[in-house]
Amino acid sequence: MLIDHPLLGLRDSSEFIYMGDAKLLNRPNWKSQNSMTKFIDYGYLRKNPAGVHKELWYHEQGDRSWLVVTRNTVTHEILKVELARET
Amino acid sequence: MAKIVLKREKPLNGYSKVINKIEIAEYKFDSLISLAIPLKRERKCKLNFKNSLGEPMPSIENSIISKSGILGFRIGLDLLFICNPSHSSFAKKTVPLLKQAFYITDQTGGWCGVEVDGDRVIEMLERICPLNLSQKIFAIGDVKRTIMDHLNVIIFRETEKKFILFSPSSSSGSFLKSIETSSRNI
Repeated sequence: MLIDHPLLGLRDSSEFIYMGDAKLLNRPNWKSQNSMTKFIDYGYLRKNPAGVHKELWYHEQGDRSWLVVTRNTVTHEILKVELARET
Repeated sequence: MAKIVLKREKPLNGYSKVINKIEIAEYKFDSLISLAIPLKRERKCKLNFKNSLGEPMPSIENSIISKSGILGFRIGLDLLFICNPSHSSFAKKTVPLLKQAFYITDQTGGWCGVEVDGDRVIEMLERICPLNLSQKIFAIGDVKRTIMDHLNVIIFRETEKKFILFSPSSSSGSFLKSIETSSRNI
């Protein structure tokens, strides 16, 4: 599988590490009233869809950037790749 | 009491061999440092780089070679490496200048360098390197960080058929074996 890195172009997926659901970028506010429920959701619950999914990929054997990859988990088609710092 | 002076061993002990007309040799350097650009200080770092090395800061995956032979290359948005083959005033003059703008880490002991040179070098590399090594994509002076045989490698193209590969010194023996095996498999 090739990932079209926004800065470096097409790179082999073996250079990357899959780091989970991109919802991890949105950490809940610990001050909110129902923060416990939100943190349980944030820490443990995943949708695991068969279809389009936003994922975090870390370019460990490359420029050490974090990417948000929108990928179809059924076909492995990659629809969009963005730098996590710019999302 | 006698003064003891420690002498650093090269990771591959000065290795040099020719396999299938590919010259494989340890690339010797005095020091290798990494530079990190502090947040929102890219402009200052660009000026500092030019003042310190006499060359503009390279763009991502590009390199410069200073008049004194120092190789500088940029791996990512905020990460660069400087490799000093043998310039004597590097540690005393250049590094303190660079420290005024960059975060600096000495990585000399952490990496080994291997030069591979020869007409069939692409055939050898394409067996272990996932990058497109076509000159249109990976031109002379370009540099990329990638993975070869499960090992982290920084690859620099010096000429059409000569590359310098940097890999962690702790696994340099395994890396050299990959290169030798790939050279024999052409």
